[in-house]
Amino acid sequence: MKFENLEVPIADLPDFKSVHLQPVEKRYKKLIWLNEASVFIVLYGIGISSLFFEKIPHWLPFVILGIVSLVLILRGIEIEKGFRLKKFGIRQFDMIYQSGFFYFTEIVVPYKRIQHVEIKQGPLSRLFSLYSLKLYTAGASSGDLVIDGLEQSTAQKLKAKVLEKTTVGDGAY
Amino acid sequence: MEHIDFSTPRLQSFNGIFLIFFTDLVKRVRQNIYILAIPFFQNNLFQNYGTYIYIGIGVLVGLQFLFSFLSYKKFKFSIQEDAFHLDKGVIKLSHIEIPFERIQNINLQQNILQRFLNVVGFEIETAGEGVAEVNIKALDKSFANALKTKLIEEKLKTESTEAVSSETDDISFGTHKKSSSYSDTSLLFQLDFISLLKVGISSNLFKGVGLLLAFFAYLYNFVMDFLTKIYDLNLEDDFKNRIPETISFVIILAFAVLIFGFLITILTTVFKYYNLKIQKSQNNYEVEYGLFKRVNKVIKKSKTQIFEIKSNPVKKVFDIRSVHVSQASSNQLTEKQKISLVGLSVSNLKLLFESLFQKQLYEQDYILIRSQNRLFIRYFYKNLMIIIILAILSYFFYFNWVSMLTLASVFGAMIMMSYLKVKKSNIGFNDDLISIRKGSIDTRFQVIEIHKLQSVRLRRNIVQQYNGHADVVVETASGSISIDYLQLDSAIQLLNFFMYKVESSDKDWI
Repeated sequence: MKFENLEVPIADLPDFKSVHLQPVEKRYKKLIWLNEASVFIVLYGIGISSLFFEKIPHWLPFVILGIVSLVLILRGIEIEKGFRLKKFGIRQFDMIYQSGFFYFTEIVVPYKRIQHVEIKQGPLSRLFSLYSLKLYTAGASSGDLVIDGLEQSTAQKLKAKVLEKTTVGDGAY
Repeated sequence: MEHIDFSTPRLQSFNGIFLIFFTDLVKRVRQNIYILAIPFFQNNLFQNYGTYIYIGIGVLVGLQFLFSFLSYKKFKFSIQEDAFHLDKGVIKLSHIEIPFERIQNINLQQNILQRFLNVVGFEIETAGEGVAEVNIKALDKSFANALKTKLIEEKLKTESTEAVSSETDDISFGTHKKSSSYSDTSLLFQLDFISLLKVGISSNLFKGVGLLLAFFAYLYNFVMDFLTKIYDLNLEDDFKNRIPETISFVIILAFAVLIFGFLITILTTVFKYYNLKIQKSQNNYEVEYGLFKRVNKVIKKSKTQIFEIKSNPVKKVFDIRSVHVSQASSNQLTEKQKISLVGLSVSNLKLLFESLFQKQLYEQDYILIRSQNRLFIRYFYKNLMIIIILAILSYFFYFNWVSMLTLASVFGAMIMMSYLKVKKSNIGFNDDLISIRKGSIDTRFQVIEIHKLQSVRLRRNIVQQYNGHADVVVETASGSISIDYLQLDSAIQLLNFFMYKVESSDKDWI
């Protein structure tokens, strides 16, 4: 790759990979597992209860249970291995979030492009007193940045940081 | 027309009742189309219950008319000092209020029914958030134009009083050509009939074929059901057993389908884009097209996010291109929502690009980064999966050398396409623009201004994590575009560069 024609040499640009990233709260993993368990209990329930219906062919429940178990194993790997990868970082002009084991994604959202910020707490996360931070951009929802499993103080600090930047960024608003 | 009092709530044009009634009726029929199938299951339904059925239908239509009449009566709109107000709803009442400064576009449309009833449809588009989009179905033409001018005036007024950004004159409003206040609209381009035919010939043949096949499949099922019910025959087995002998018949049929598909494609294109006109007014472009349904859309410079040029070998021969402009919206745009300008010559294209971006289209020096050849492996596995599923299906339902040969040739074609896709896929960038090229036989070339990016993602699946590649996804306000399988370090550098550009520029995305 040659980058001669640009104003700034690309090697001199700040590298988002060099940012020190912070992990989310450890207890968030329990919350994920709890969420996952509630889904899989239902799925297993369907599989096992279908064993007792005579109209259903015999092989079907086993196939269902097999598939559910396979998915559970994959989800388990994703959660266990992927949890360590859930990290966020703050730079002067943007926020970084990375996550995912099978699909590792890294997203960078400039504060300038953030439309509004939201701190949310679901019913389960109330149990763990965890919060999630949502940064909405003007694009499709895939371009939004969502960090789950934050301490309230962290979430609020991040929100304040983002808001300060967005308002400074375009004073017209 | 200046003396209309907009502040009193008013109804739509009287003909609107019929328009609402007919459109609602069509909607109901479409929702309940499956009822038409009932007579085929019960042979002597009409002899037994004929009168009841007719009475029932009559009552339903009457109720529908009542409902439509009420919804006409309840639909009231007015302009108050600060906003456009609209009340509607028969059972669930709703009140919509659009502040003038939130109005982005005003579109006037006329479909065939509206044309017949001599009314126009009136649409107010707002920016983002997808809350209030107003669609008034029936207005007198002169009234609609007056309303549009009035709204534009109000909007301009709020803009000048607020004086938020005096330099952003490109936010000023797209005016309708009939409004008297702006006389500097100039015709940029008008599609003549020959070019329109060329567009039809060069557009994707398979869409027409697909349409036709879907229709035939529907017809086939319908007729088969009917015949088997009535004559108690098992035509399907009979038919299947004969296919290998009548291979020539099949080939003729395939040709017929292709030719009809071709004709249908041309016809639909001609209907859709009949008399396409692009007019320049202020800094915006007004686009108008359609035979039965006349569509009027405005391309606004500031709202433009993605500029896409489509071409294919046939189009190249005819020397035409089509352009699809994506405007900012709160969700991923579908193909239909993009503003399509077809049959443009290369010089038209240059002109349009230049006035939207203030840059020369073909004099850009992009640094290109290509998708790596490993992308082919991904396509290969995907295709293999499809073929295996098809093979399993055909094994159970219809297994002989014909189907296997077909599958093999389909697989071959898929491989070819994947190869072309990998070869074409690349992303380029310079100081201001990003270019993304995709396609197989056809080519899609998308241009985005770097400062219009919302965010950028790198995506790596487990294989890519292992072999050091990444997909780059750029998010814009009209959807995301991904470029697959770049080398990891170039992907990281791309992201760094884009972020630097977005953060250091003071230009806004809209």
